[in-house]
Amino acid sequence: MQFSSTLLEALIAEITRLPGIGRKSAQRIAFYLLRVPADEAGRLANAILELKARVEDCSICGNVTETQPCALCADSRRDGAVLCVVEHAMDVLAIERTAEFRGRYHVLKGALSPVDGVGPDQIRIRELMARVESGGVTEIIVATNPTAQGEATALYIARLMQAHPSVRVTRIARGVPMGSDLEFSDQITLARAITGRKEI
Amino acid sequence: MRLLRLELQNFRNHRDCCADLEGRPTLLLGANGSGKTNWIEAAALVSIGRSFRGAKDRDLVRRGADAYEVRATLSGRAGAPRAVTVRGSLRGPREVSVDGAPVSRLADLLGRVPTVQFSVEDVAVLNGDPAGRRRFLDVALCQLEPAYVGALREYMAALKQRNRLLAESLKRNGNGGGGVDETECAAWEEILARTGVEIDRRRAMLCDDLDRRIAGLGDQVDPDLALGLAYGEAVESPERRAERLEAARPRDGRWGWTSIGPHRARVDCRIQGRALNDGASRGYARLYSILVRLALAGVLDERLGEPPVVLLDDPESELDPRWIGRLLALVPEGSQAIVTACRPLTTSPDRFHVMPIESCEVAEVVAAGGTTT
Ligand SMILES: [Zn+2]
Repeated sequence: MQFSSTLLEALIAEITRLPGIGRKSAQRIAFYLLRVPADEAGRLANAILELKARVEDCSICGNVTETQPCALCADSRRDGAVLCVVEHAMDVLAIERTAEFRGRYHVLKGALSPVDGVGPDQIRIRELMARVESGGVTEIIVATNPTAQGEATALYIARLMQAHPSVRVTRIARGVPMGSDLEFSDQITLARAITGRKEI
Repeated sequence: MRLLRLELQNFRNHRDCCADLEGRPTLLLGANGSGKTNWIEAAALVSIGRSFRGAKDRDLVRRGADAYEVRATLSGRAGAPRAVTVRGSLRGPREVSVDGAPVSRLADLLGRVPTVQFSVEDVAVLNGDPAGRRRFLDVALCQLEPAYVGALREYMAALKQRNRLLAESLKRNGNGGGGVDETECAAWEEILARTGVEIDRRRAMLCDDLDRRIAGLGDQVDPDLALGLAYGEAVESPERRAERLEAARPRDGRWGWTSIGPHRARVDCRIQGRALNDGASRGYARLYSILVRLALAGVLDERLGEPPVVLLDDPESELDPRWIGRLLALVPEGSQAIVTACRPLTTSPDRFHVMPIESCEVAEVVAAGGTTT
């Protein structure tokens, strides 16, 4: 169904592009926005613009940040000898919520998947190796998702680390159900997975 | 497990039909084109969540309708489902619910309504290329062992990735091979090794069990049959498998695909000491196909503690008429057999309930009631 306003149509088309939102939900959101006071709609529009203008990747860990380096990398109380490697910035949030981890992070921004054209050069593997080679790292906890891609990425990193025998490489325990995302696993399961990690 | 009632709405050629099976062994009697195979397909659908003929939902929806629904009312051991509904439409995913609660993963349905199925097309499966015989084992194991579903899915995902890696390097470097990132390839191989040996181990165990049972069943039909079943892939350690995958890497690189593993395994069906696909008559092939399902019914009964529903589509055609009575007598005790035929069976056990089947295109409700021979 087409609406008589091309502006409304354009907004619906934009909202439909958001993850997990179909055309019906997009219409509902668009009509909601049509009715809210202008300042409320303005706050939403501004929040999006500010986000795009000021949030970027941390130059060290790859996490999202407004400062360089990010607060986690700048925090001197955190243990720089232990790196937790995750696929996405959202996974940092999930692990931080468990309050079980006091080291630093490395966000890969993806996982190996030749089918999708993603090889080691398309994710932040080289940056990880550079951090290890610059010294001071004693353990890497690989907390990639328990999917085939996450597994392969973990195994790949473990193989690269064979060149650095002084660095212990562990994989978070399989408390996280196979095929799920870290983001969606509950906090207790994830906390247990971090404390119960194993060597790979 | 027994089927008390099966209701079809806009499924294949049936508009709105209901069969009151009442848990009895039943002979569905109908002419060709009456849609009796569709009843078998519907009964299997509520068990394995998909068409055993490999049909998509758009093939299952009756012409002129948007969606179909199959409802089964069941009776089994304590804790077994009482009702399973499968809905499919021209668009959107298939929906399955067990006792009114939607089931999001197929693994949550498999094994809860155990069935074995035989249909005319299956003869070609056992007779033809090994992919069909591997699929037979996979469908059975998915019902038997929930962990198998996960291993198979992970294996297939990793296989696709390694094959793509090999194919890409082939495209870049030509069939001189090489150029593949050895470390990356090894990472995928480690997953293939771990899940692959797991799949092989479970398949080999099932084949051993089936081999023993089919030999025994064959003897009861005709002592000269000498039936057997063997799994062709070696059961080995994940480390050994990883070594073999690494050794195969140069050749796989030239071919652009993975040449070893459970996706290539042989499954050998033997009759009178020869492979089934080595010139066995259609009658023998058909007999083997039915007996291997009856052997599987025995395995499911023993391991799930629930006798499966035995679905046999037109078993009598092309079969030595002396055999059919003996075959039906081999259905495990406690299993409900649902059998289709074009005409009354030459020799049918008298406990069978006969139900005439007509297409429900016009009539609203047929296939209720019936007579006992
Ligand atoms: Zn940082």
